[in-house]
Amino acid sequence: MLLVFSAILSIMLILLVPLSPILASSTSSENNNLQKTTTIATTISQEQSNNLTPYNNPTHGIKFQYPSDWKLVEHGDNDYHNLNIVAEFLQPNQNNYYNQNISASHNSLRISVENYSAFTETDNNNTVNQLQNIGNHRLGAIGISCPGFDLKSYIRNTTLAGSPAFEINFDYSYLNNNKKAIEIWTVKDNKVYIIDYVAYEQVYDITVPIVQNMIASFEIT
Amino acid sequence: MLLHSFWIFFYRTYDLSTRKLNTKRIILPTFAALTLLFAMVSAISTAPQSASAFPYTCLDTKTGGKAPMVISGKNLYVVWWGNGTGNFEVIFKASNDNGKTFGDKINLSNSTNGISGGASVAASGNNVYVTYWDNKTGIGRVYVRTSNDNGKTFEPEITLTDYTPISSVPYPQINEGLAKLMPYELKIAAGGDNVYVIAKGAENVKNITSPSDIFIRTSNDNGKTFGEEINLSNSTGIQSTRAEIVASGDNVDVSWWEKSDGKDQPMIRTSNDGGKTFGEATVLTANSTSSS
Repeated sequence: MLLVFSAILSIMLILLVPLSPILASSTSSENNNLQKTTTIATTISQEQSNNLTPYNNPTHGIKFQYPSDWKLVEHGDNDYHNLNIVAEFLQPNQNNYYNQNISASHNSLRISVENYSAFTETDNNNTVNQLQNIGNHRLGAIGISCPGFDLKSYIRNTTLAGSPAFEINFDYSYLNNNKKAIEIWTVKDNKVYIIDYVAYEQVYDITVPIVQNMIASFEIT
Repeated sequence: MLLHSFWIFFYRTYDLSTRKLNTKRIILPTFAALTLLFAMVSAISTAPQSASAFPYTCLDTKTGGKAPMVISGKNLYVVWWGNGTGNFEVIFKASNDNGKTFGDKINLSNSTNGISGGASVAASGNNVYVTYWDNKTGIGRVYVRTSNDNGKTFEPEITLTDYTPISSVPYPQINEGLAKLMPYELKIAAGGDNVYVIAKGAENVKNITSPSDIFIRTSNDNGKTFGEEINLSNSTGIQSTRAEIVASGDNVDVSWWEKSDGKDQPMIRTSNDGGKTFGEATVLTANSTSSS
């Protein structure tokens, strides 16, 4: 009988040891959120003093600067139905928020380069019309794909890399995870350059000044 | 299967005559089971939490819906369709400061039993007009809703198509064997008190679908009532598609492309009386090209 109790006790112990981090995290999520916010704020202050790292992509003729503690991931060409993301820059707090079951789970900035023909059925050489047409397609695609999509602003008089640009700010929510995002696009020589940044709302609010600096550093060579 | 294994384990280890467990038979299987459990739990708890592989996000989609917008003074109006409510609905937002901020979302289609989409928006003065299709009745129909206060509130929807289905044809209109297929490519324009709605639709006669034509319906009283539809292309055997419309007061131009015998040529018809009558269809150019 003693052996039976010993066996049951062993099972419980063996189960509890690896599960303890999971149980601990699930029972103290509020404390974790506070700690995460503090960590993010600390990280941001460190980032602001960091030197920016240059990113140069001669294939697509773009230059960019990003904080040295952001992780660069370069992508190959995406398929026809998805944006051609050439580079993604991961915010340092990535791992704290990653959940593979959540769409757009990463706090990251992405640069996409497309041919203008990907957004239209007819030729149109007027820049404003082109920017508006891209917005028509981008907003439509995001609106149909991102749950709870809500448009917060639609700026039509900004610039990107010295060229006229349109910018949208929006949010959406997936499984009670609230995301905020900014997307800005310009068109030059029938090439469309899109920069978007999406993050959990608490991360977004803190990181958006740095993201604005990153966007301001974007160059088309 | 698990229950079956448990009973086998139980009968092999429990001595019914003495009502005691056979401890010698317990140790090895228990050890094996614990090892397996430990491996499984460890694998789950130590699964990668970092982002070494990036799934596509909802921002990456390039195709799908559209979000037309229109500007009237400092007012910017935009519509799109999405399934944020669990059902595809047409959503409207208005900005009164050139897009810096927006009011609340307005669900214009608001049909929990139907799919909505294909929206287009136009504005004239304080009036905003949105057209879209919805299949809440079981048939894809075209609707229009009007706001007279810069997009703050909207009047109830008006149905622009009234097609009755027959069993063999989806979304048709019965007219002694003549059926009209569901309209697509909705576009709306406004000028003065006039509202113009165009759509691509096709007719089906005895289960044979004809190439699509371009239709228009016009309101001359700020979207309160609409006149009868006019078939603008009316080109038997020719596919008419990709229609566009521009309007200014009583003047309205409708263009479209006609595909026939490998040619793809742009056509135009114009009205100068608020869409009541239209001039003859004209070929815009003899050597047109299209990227599509």
